[in-house]
Amino acid sequence: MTAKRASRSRGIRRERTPFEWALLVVSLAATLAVVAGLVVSGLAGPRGPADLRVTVADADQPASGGRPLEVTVTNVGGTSAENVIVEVTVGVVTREVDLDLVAKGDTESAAVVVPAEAAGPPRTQVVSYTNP
Amino acid sequence: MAGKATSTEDVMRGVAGGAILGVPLLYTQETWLDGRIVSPVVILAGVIAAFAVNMALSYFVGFRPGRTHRPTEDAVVGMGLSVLLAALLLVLLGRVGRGTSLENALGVIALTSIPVSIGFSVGVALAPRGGGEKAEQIQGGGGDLLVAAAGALVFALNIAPTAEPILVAAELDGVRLGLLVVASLVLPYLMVFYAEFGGREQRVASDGATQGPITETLLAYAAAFVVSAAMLAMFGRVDAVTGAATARVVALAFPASIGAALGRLLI
Repeated sequence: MTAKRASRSRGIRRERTPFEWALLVVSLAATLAVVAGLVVSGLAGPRGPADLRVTVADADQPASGGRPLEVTVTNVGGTSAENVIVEVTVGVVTREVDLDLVAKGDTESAAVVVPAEAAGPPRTQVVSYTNP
Repeated sequence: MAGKATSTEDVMRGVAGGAILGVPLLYTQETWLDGRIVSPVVILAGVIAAFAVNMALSYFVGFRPGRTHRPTEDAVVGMGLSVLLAALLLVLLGRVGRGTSLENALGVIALTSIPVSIGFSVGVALAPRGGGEKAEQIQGGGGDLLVAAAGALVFALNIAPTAEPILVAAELDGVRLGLLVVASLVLPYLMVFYAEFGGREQRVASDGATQGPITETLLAYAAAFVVSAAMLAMFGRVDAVTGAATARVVALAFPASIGAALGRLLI
């Protein structure tokens, strides 16, 4: 009986190989990184409503029939924003840009083209958004 | 009882299981969105629950045969490697990138890794040891291609009517699309010819013009590609041979190639 127990014990307590150690260390590190990241995000992340910061600049690539602008929206708030509508005004010309989702902490960009004759610095304003 | 040490073939079997269960969810935009919107605490609760399930599955099934004495360790390995696999595939598909905050990246990766880890933990049960009934009658060039196309059809039919292949294709540049083709070839090759599923020796040793592992992998991808193109055409997602249409087919051919590999494993 003792021998049987010892045999079973030897089988169960087989030493790990270097490959098994490596697997365990890498897997443990990846799992703990995700868990720690989620805990920190959950406890220390930004709170409150969406806070959308909009910047606009001339796009690098030319567009036929107008002046291309790149609108960038960053959400520094604690809630994601859906169906974000940004109004871009250049002189007397106004265009709207729609973004499906700007998640909390994320940055999204979209392009808009205004007529080439529209002069002056572009101005932006968040018209509306919804909470998911 | 303790069995032999964990091998790379065992790990590949787990990765194969993770890919089979996880890839369909990778092509679900609600996952991409909810990983960013849902509270990290809620996602963490899901990960913890999945870990408990993985411990139980590792005890009763696992990703390697004959090992039931370290379910916690196996669950950790399954979870950790699933996190890495999910992260790799999300980056490859352009769902996590420079514009994604760390918090949102972690949310999407953690959410996606849940089904991947479940698949990892049942890896050993995904293919019968002796193949399906009358499996030997279907083996051969045409038979293998038939089951590959059938497996590809199951996966492609689930995803082709959705917007995901279009969204993925629209955001991938040529390099990423090339890498996706490479992944569509390498992952099925490892699943079918490297992971120690039942009948592997028979598959590797099969002779005939279309029966070499590399030739068969290429032909199976071709079948997955054709099936993907046909499915996208059927649902009106492609109607001409253009660069955009090719990108959509490549995007759909990745999950289809996983389905093709599963078909060859099961038969």
